[in-house]
Amino acid sequence: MSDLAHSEIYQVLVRRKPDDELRLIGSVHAPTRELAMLYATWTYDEETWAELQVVRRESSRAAAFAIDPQAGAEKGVVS
Amino acid sequence: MSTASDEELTPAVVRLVATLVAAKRRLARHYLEWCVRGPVLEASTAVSAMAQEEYGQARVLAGLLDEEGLQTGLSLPAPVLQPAPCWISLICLAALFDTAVTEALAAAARYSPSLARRVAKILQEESFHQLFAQQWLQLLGQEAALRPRLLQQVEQLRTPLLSWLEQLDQLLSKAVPARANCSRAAAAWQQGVTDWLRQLAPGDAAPGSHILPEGGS
Repeated sequence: MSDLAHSEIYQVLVRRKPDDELRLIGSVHAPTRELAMLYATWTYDEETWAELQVVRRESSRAAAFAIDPQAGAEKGVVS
Repeated sequence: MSTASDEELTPAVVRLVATLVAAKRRLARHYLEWCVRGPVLEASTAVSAMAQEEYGQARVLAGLLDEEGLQTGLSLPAPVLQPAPCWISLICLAALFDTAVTEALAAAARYSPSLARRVAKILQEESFHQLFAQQWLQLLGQEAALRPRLLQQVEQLRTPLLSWLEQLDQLLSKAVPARANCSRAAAAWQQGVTDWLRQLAPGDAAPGSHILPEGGS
Protein backbone atom coordinates (compact mmCIF):
# COMPACT_ATOMS: atom_id res chain seq x y z
CA MET A 1 0.00 0.00 0.00
CA SER A 2 1.30 3.46 -0.81
CA ASP A 3 2.06 5.99 1.92
CA LEU A 4 -0.70 8.19 0.55
CA ALA A 5 -3.42 5.63 1.15
CA HIS A 6 -1.87 4.43 4.41
CA SER A 7 -2.37 7.08 7.07
CA GLU A 8 -1.53 6.31 10.68
CA ILE A 9 -2.43 7.81 14.02
CA TYR A 10 0.37 9.61 15.84
CA GLN A 11 0.00 10.65 19.46
CA VAL A 12 1.21 14.14 20.30
CA LEU A 13 3.16 14.64 23.51
CA VAL A 14 4.45 17.92 24.89
CA ARG A 15 6.41 19.51 27.69
CA ARG A 16 5.34 23.02 28.59
CA LYS A 17 8.63 23.63 30.39
CA PRO A 18 11.84 21.65 29.94
CA ASP A 19 11.53 20.00 33.38
CA ASP A 20 7.84 19.08 33.01
CA GLU A 21 6.67 15.52 32.43
CA LEU A 22 5.68 14.63 28.89
CA ARG A 23 1.93 15.05 28.54
CA LEU A 24 -0.37 13.57 25.92
CA ILE A 25 -2.44 16.35 24.36
CA GLY A 26 -3.99 14.70 21.31
CA SER A 27 -3.32 12.95 18.06
CA VAL A 28 -2.99 13.50 14.32
CA HIS A 29 -3.46 11.31 11.27
CA ALA A 30 -0.52 11.35 8.88
CA PRO A 31 1.09 9.09 6.27
CA THR A 32 4.65 9.87 7.41
CA ARG A 33 6.35 10.83 10.64
CA GLU A 34 7.58 14.12 9.15
CA LEU A 35 4.06 15.15 8.18
CA ALA A 36 2.80 14.05 11.60
CA MET A 37 5.33 16.38 13.20
CA LEU A 38 4.28 19.27 10.96
CA TYR A 39 0.57 18.62 11.52
CA ALA A 40 1.09 18.42 15.28
CA THR A 41 3.10 21.64 15.30
CA TRP A 42 0.43 23.52 13.38
CA THR A 43 -2.58 21.93 15.09
CA TYR A 44 -1.44 22.17 18.71
CA ASP A 45 0.02 25.66 18.51
CA GLU A 46 -1.94 27.16 21.39
CA GLU A 47 1.30 27.44 23.37
CA THR A 48 5.00 27.65 22.70
CA TRP A 49 6.02 24.21 23.90
CA ALA A 50 9.45 23.46 25.30
CA GLU A 51 9.22 20.13 23.50
CA LEU A 52 6.75 18.44 21.16
CA GLN A 53 6.99 14.82 20.10
CA VAL A 54 4.92 12.53 17.93
CA VAL A 55 4.74 8.78 18.58
CA ARG A 56 3.07 6.32 16.26
CA ARG A 57 0.19 4.88 18.26
CA GLU A 58 0.87 1.38 17.01
CA SER A 59 4.36 1.52 18.47
CA SER A 60 3.13 2.14 22.01
CA ARG A 61 2.24 -0.82 24.23
CA ALA A 62 -0.30 -0.77 27.02
CA ALA A 63 0.30 -2.44 30.38
CA ALA A 64 -2.88 -4.16 31.65
CA PHE A 65 -3.12 -5.01 35.33
CA ALA A 66 -5.25 -7.83 36.69
CA ILE A 67 -5.82 -9.29 40.15
CA ASP A 68 -5.17 -13.01 40.46
CA PRO A 69 -7.91 -14.24 42.86
CA GLN A 70 -5.91 -17.37 43.75
CA ALA A 71 -2.77 -15.58 44.78
CA GLY A 72 -4.52 -12.37 45.80
CA ALA A 73 -1.75 -10.42 44.23
CA GLU A 74 -1.64 -7.95 41.39
CA LYS A 75 0.10 -9.02 38.25
CA GLY A 76 1.19 -6.67 35.56
CA VAL A 77 0.72 -7.91 32.04
CA VAL A 78 2.35 -6.11 29.18
CA SER A 79 0.37 -6.61 26.02
CA MET B 1 11.17 55.82 2.47
CA SER B 2 10.26 54.50 5.92
CA THR B 3 12.66 52.01 7.40
CA ALA B 4 12.75 50.85 10.97
CA SER B 5 16.50 50.48 10.86
CA ASP B 6 19.55 52.65 10.40
CA GLU B 7 20.08 51.23 6.92
CA GLU B 8 18.65 53.06 3.94
CA LEU B 9 17.14 50.59 1.49
CA THR B 10 18.09 51.33 -2.07
CA PRO B 11 15.29 51.74 -4.64
CA ALA B 12 16.27 48.45 -6.23
CA VAL B 13 15.95 46.59 -2.91
CA VAL B 14 12.62 48.33 -2.32
CA ARG B 15 11.34 47.09 -5.68
CA LEU B 16 12.59 43.61 -4.90
CA VAL B 17 10.94 43.54 -1.47
CA ALA B 18 7.69 44.90 -2.92
CA THR B 19 7.72 42.07 -5.47
CA LEU B 20 8.21 39.52 -2.70
CA VAL B 21 5.37 41.09 -0.68
CA ALA B 22 3.06 40.68 -3.68
CA ALA B 23 4.25 37.10 -4.14
CA LYS B 24 3.61 36.24 -0.50
CA ARG B 25 0.11 37.73 -0.63
CA ARG B 26 -0.62 35.67 -3.72
CA LEU B 27 0.69 32.53 -2.01
CA ALA B 28 -1.41 33.25 1.06
CA ARG B 29 -4.46 33.51 -1.14
CA HIS B 30 -3.73 30.15 -2.75
CA TYR B 31 -3.36 28.53 0.66
CA LEU B 32 -6.47 30.31 1.95
CA GLU B 33 -8.53 28.91 -0.91
CA TRP B 34 -7.56 25.40 0.19
CA CYS B 35 -7.68 25.75 3.96
CA VAL B 36 -10.98 23.84 4.19
CA ARG B 37 -10.57 21.72 1.05
CA GLY B 38 -7.52 19.60 1.80
CA PRO B 39 -7.65 15.82 1.36
CA VAL B 40 -7.57 15.32 5.15
CA LEU B 41 -8.37 17.59 8.07
CA GLU B 42 -4.73 17.82 9.13
CA ALA B 43 -3.65 18.93 5.66
CA SER B 44 -6.31 21.65 5.68
CA THR B 45 -5.11 22.81 9.08
CA ALA B 46 -1.56 22.91 7.79
CA VAL B 47 -2.53 24.95 4.74
CA SER B 48 -4.52 27.31 6.95
CA ALA B 49 -1.46 27.85 9.14
CA MET B 50 0.69 28.43 6.05
CA ALA B 51 -1.78 31.04 4.78
CA GLN B 52 -1.60 32.91 8.06
CA GLU B 53 2.17 32.76 8.04
CA GLU B 54 2.41 34.04 4.46
CA TYR B 55 0.11 36.97 5.26
CA GLY B 56 2.12 37.69 8.40
CA GLN B 57 5.38 37.57 6.48
CA ALA B 58 3.99 39.88 3.79
CA ARG B 59 3.01 42.35 6.50
CA VAL B 60 6.47 42.22 8.09
CA LEU B 61 8.16 42.84 4.74
CA ALA B 62 5.67 45.56 3.80
CA GLY B 63 6.70 47.30 7.02
CA LEU B 64 9.98 48.08 5.29
CA LEU B 65 8.18 50.04 2.59
CA ASP B 66 5.97 53.06 2.37
CA GLU B 67 2.94 53.16 0.07
CA GLU B 68 5.04 54.33 -2.83
CA GLY B 69 7.44 51.47 -2.21
CA LEU B 70 4.67 48.91 -2.59
CA GLN B 71 4.88 49.29 -6.37
CA THR B 72 6.42 46.04 -7.42
CA GLY B 73 9.54 45.87 -9.53
CA LEU B 74 8.37 42.77 -11.31
CA SER B 75 4.97 41.29 -12.01
CA LEU B 76 4.24 37.75 -10.92
CA PRO B 77 4.44 34.95 -13.49
CA ALA B 78 1.06 34.21 -15.09
CA PRO B 79 0.67 30.58 -13.91
CA VAL B 80 0.77 31.57 -10.24
CA LEU B 81 -2.05 34.07 -10.73
CA GLN B 82 -4.49 31.30 -11.63
CA PRO B 83 -6.38 29.60 -8.78
CA ALA B 84 -5.13 26.12 -7.95
CA PRO B 85 -7.86 23.83 -9.31
CA CYS B 86 -6.77 20.71 -7.40
CA TRP B 87 -4.61 19.56 -4.54
CA ILE B 88 -1.80 18.60 -6.92
CA SER B 89 -1.73 22.17 -8.25
CA LEU B 90 -1.55 23.57 -4.75
CA ILE B 91 1.31 21.26 -3.78
CA CYS B 92 3.17 22.26 -6.95
CA LEU B 93 2.72 25.92 -6.03
CA ALA B 94 4.03 25.20 -2.53
CA ALA B 95 6.94 23.17 -3.88
CA LEU B 96 7.97 25.62 -6.59
CA PHE B 97 6.50 29.08 -6.10
CA ASP B 98 6.82 29.21 -2.30
CA THR B 99 10.39 27.92 -2.46
CA ALA B 100 11.27 30.39 -5.24
CA VAL B 101 10.06 33.32 -3.14
CA THR B 102 11.99 32.03 -0.14
CA GLU B 103 15.15 31.60 -2.19
CA ALA B 104 14.89 35.17 -3.49
CA LEU B 105 14.25 36.52 -0.01
CA ALA B 106 17.19 34.62 1.48
CA ALA B 107 19.44 35.87 -1.33
CA ALA B 108 18.37 39.48 -0.77
CA ALA B 109 18.77 39.19 2.99
CA ARG B 110 22.41 38.17 2.60
CA TYR B 111 23.14 41.64 1.27
CA SER B 112 20.83 43.78 3.39
CA PRO B 113 21.32 43.79 7.18
CA SER B 114 17.93 45.39 7.86
CA LEU B 115 16.24 42.77 5.71
CA ALA B 116 18.24 39.99 7.36
CA ARG B 117 16.99 41.07 10.80
CA ARG B 118 13.41 40.77 9.63
CA VAL B 119 13.62 37.53 7.70
CA ALA B 120 15.17 35.20 10.28
CA LYS B 121 11.77 34.09 11.60
CA ILE B 122 10.34 34.05 8.07
CA LEU B 123 13.01 31.63 6.91
CA GLN B 124 12.36 29.43 9.94
CA GLU B 125 8.65 29.29 9.10
CA GLU B 126 9.45 28.66 5.47
CA SER B 127 11.54 25.62 6.35
CA PHE B 128 8.28 24.04 7.59
CA HIS B 129 6.49 25.02 4.36
CA GLN B 130 9.29 23.41 2.37
CA LEU B 131 9.10 20.19 4.38
CA PHE B 132 5.33 20.09 3.89
CA ALA B 133 5.70 20.61 0.14
CA GLN B 134 8.50 18.08 -0.18
CA GLN B 135 6.60 15.42 1.75
CA TRP B 136 3.43 15.88 -0.28
CA LEU B 137 5.37 16.00 -3.53
CA GLN B 138 6.86 12.62 -2.67
CA LEU B 139 3.51 11.17 -1.63
CA LEU B 140 1.88 12.28 -4.87
CA GLY B 141 4.89 11.15 -6.88
CA GLN B 142 4.54 7.62 -5.52
CA GLU B 143 1.08 7.31 -7.02
CA ALA B 144 1.30 5.86 -10.51
CA ALA B 145 -2.01 7.42 -11.53
CA LEU B 146 -1.14 10.89 -10.24
CA ARG B 147 2.53 11.06 -11.15
CA PRO B 148 2.14 12.13 -14.82
CA ARG B 149 -0.16 15.00 -13.87
CA LEU B 150 2.14 16.01 -11.06
CA LEU B 151 5.14 16.18 -13.37
CA GLN B 152 3.09 18.05 -15.97
CA GLN B 153 2.11 20.68 -13.39
CA VAL B 154 5.71 20.96 -12.21
CA GLU B 155 6.90 21.61 -15.76
CA GLN B 156 4.18 24.21 -16.33
CA LEU B 157 5.43 26.18 -13.34
CA ARG B 158 9.13 25.50 -13.59
CA THR B 159 10.08 27.50 -16.68
CA PRO B 160 8.14 30.71 -15.90
CA LEU B 161 9.32 30.65 -12.30
CA LEU B 162 12.93 30.17 -13.33
CA SER B 163 12.65 33.13 -15.68
CA TRP B 164 11.00 35.19 -12.90
CA LEU B 165 13.77 34.32 -10.45
CA GLU B 166 16.42 35.26 -13.00
CA GLN B 167 14.80 38.66 -13.32
CA LEU B 168 14.75 38.99 -9.54
CA ASP B 169 18.44 38.12 -9.54
CA GLN B 170 19.02 40.96 -11.98
CA LEU B 171 17.09 43.32 -9.71
CA LEU B 172 19.24 42.23 -6.81
CA SER B 173 22.42 42.67 -8.80
CA LYS B 174 21.38 46.25 -9.56
CA ALA B 175 20.75 46.79 -5.87
CA VAL B 176 24.06 45.26 -4.83
CA PRO B 177 26.62 45.57 -7.64
CA ALA B 178 29.21 43.70 -5.57
CA ARG B 179 26.93 40.69 -5.76
CA ALA B 180 27.17 40.38 -9.53
CA ASN B 181 29.52 37.43 -9.46
CA CYS B 182 27.94 35.68 -6.49
CA SER B 183 25.67 32.68 -6.50
CA ARG B 184 22.20 33.31 -7.85
CA ALA B 185 18.84 32.54 -6.31
CA ALA B 186 17.64 31.09 -9.62
CA ALA B 187 20.48 28.58 -9.78
CA ALA B 188 20.04 27.52 -6.15
CA TRP B 189 16.30 27.13 -6.61
CA GLN B 190 16.67 25.13 -9.79
CA GLN B 191 19.12 22.79 -8.09
CA GLY B 192 16.73 22.33 -5.16
CA VAL B 193 13.79 21.54 -7.42
CA THR B 194 15.89 19.09 -9.44
CA ASP B 195 16.94 17.32 -6.24
CA TRP B 196 13.34 17.01 -5.10
CA LEU B 197 12.20 15.65 -8.45
CA ARG B 198 15.02 13.14 -8.40
CA GLN B 199 13.71 11.83 -5.09
CA LEU B 200 10.27 11.12 -6.53
CA ALA B 201 9.85 7.39 -6.45
CA PRO B 202 8.37 5.72 -9.51
CA GLY B 203 4.75 5.02 -8.82
CA ASP B 204 3.58 1.44 -8.70
CA ALA B 205 0.82 1.64 -6.12
CA ALA B 206 -2.86 2.26 -6.41
CA PRO B 207 -3.89 5.92 -6.25
CA GLY B 208 -5.41 7.29 -3.08
CA SER B 209 -8.98 8.08 -4.08
CA HIS B 210 -9.27 10.71 -1.34
CA ILE B 211 -6.52 12.84 -2.79
CA LEU B 212 -8.42 14.78 -5.40
CA PRO B 213 -11.23 16.58 -3.64
CA GLU B 214 -13.48 19.17 -5.25
CA GLY B 215 -12.77 19.46 -8.89
CA GLY B 216 -9.55 17.54 -8.69
CA SER B 217 -10.31 15.09 -11.45
